[in-house]
Amino acid sequence: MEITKNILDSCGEKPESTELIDVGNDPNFIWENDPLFETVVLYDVEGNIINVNSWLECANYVTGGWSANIDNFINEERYLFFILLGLSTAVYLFKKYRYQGKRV
Amino acid sequence: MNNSTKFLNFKNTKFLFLFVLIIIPWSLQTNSDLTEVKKIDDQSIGYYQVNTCSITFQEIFTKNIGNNDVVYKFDNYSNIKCFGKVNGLDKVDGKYHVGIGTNLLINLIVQTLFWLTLFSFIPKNNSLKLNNKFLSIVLIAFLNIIHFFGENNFYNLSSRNIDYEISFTNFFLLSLILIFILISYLTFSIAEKVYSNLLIYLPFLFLVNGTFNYSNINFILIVFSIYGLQNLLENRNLKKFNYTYFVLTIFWLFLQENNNFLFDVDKLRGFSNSSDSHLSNIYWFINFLLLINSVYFLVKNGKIIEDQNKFILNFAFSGALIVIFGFIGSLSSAFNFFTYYYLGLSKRGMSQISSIEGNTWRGISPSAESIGEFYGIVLFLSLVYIIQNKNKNNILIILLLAINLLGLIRSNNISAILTLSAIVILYLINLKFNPSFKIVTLFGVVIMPLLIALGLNLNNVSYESASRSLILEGLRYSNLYENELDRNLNVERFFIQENDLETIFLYSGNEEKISSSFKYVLDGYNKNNLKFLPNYVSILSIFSLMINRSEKWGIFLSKYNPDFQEFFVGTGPLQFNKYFFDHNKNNIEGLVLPHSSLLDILIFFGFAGSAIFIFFLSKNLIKNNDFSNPIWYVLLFLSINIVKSDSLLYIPPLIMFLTFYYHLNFQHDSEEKIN
Repeated sequence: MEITKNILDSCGEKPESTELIDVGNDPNFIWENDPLFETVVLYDVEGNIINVNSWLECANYVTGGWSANIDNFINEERYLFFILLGLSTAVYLFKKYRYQGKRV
Repeated sequence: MNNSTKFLNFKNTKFLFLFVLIIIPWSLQTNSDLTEVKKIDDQSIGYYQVNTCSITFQEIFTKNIGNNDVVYKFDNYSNIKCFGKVNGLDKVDGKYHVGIGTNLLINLIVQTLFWLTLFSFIPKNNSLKLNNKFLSIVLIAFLNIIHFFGENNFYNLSSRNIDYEISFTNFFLLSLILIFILISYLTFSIAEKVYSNLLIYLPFLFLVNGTFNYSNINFILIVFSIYGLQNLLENRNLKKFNYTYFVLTIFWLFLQENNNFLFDVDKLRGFSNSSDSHLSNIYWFINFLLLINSVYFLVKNGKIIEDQNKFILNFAFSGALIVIFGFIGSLSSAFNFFTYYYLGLSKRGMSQISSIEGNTWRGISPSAESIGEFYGIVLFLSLVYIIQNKNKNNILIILLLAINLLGLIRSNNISAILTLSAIVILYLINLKFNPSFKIVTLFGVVIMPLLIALGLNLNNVSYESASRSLILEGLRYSNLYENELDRNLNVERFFIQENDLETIFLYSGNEEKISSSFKYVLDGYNKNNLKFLPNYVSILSIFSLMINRSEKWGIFLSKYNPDFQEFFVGTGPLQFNKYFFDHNKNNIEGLVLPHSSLLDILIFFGFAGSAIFIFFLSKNLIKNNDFSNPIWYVLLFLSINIVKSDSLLYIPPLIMFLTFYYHLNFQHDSEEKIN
């Protein structure tokens, strides 16, 4: 596992005592809580939430696509659509009323 | 405030808006946490690979000014948030390739706004209004949406954020529909005010090609489809052509076999079908029809004749800008990046001033052939301008002419240079002696065989080998010697040992393997020999050798394998899928086009279409021959050059060709009416 910017952003710097191991897909692996690690809340693309209690657990989930920043999963196309729709409606109404005002 | 000050202020606002559109998308920092910008070197590669989507193009560019090893590339796999930001860094052949994020939806918005602003600079004329506004907007938006579905293979490969699910929660699709409705609406609003002046600015289409980044859609096509619809719905000109085209469209759709291959459109992006699905075919068939109709409409309602000087000056300006942009783009990677994006090029401009691997220097143009022809026309028209405006101060046009001449020399289009020389000589002779059409034709008939004989002599090629050169090249690339070691040697040996090329069919399976067109040419060479008359294949072969097209046309013969129906009516405009993926697809690498617009027309419209095209073009040139009319010379120049170039596969040259074609026709008709 490589320490990426996403991992650093979500989980912080790797504690010196933590050994970097790749858990892979081992279903029997049990995460050990790190009492010195402040619990981090991670989100996935579907809005699921998970609390992680160690740096290694956090790093592993982030590598799998989770993030501490929910903004990363915002549907940008949705924002774009409503911005465009809002802008075009505003321009249309502005032009319409200005034209009507001129006629009066 | 008086009207002229108001106009100037409005113009300045538009210039400012253009400047903002160039700067802002690549400078907008959306992340609140600032990431350090480092100089690009071997040590910082890892840093930039980890810190993606946080440093803007403007930041990395400013930090690395003067670093000639940095090459800026587009990365279309980014999401909206990462638009204009560094998405990766790799070292390739000693150069640092910096990936800058772009996104399909944002491209559509930014590039449309830029081109619409440029489009709005064309002087307005409000005397006539276009009708069917609502219908045009809906139809054009609908056409472009079905294009995305029809060419899904292309978009799935070139962009990551495409989502085809039809649902009210698919905001990608909803945004796409809304964007196309807005593009159509805004384009229509400007198009209806400028159409009578539009063709005067036609030369600038060679500068601003209008292809959207990483998509197979072209803005110029959208603009012209508005006028095309106008002609179809309102003016009802070109009736016979349109009805015939409609019947043929049904034929073409019926003949299509959906092989699901993805044709790599490469430099034809924006004007070629990447798929052979029915939806994509419908999109391209309709767009092509609208393009033909639109040019007819614009020439009929335009003012080229009144503003001929302006038209010529625009040619000269556009050509000079193409040369200058090409040179600067060769020197600066950032400029090259911006010209590609904002001029809507289908292929990145050249990154070197020298020619690469035998390819001619083409600057920002996708094709050296078509840009060479363009420079040729610029030079001819500039000369006409100088002769017609002797009393004026012509320093500007002479300067522009010199820049265009440099462009023509660099594009190394020998055919364009020779044809240009011929039409200039003819034009000058006409000014002095006013010869008749018969004398000029007779002179041409006598001088052509002499020139061919001289060319063969200079090239030290015997008649025997010249007459078979096309067949030799066809054999080299055919599937007859497929998978054999030393296939070139085998072909050469066969050629030297066998006088009767018919023996090729004695080898088992060869007759079935070879393409139908190649078999036809071989039969023609072997069987149709009349005494004292050269064989028609020999004539074609010698001609192809003279104009350096033996190899390309040989490749065409090795691939073109139509059945009777396809040979007669073709596969439909802009459809290369069958040609490239049907027969002999493994022996030719890359996009090797037929290198003749006539062969392109044969593929698209079949023998019937080619014959009709040649008939009407010849009729136009013969019926309207006028040695004092510069338009006649330009059409002659283009007609000769398209025999050996694929120019008509690109939007600007095709529009230019149609413009001059219709223009000459209308000019004659209007003169007849006056008389």
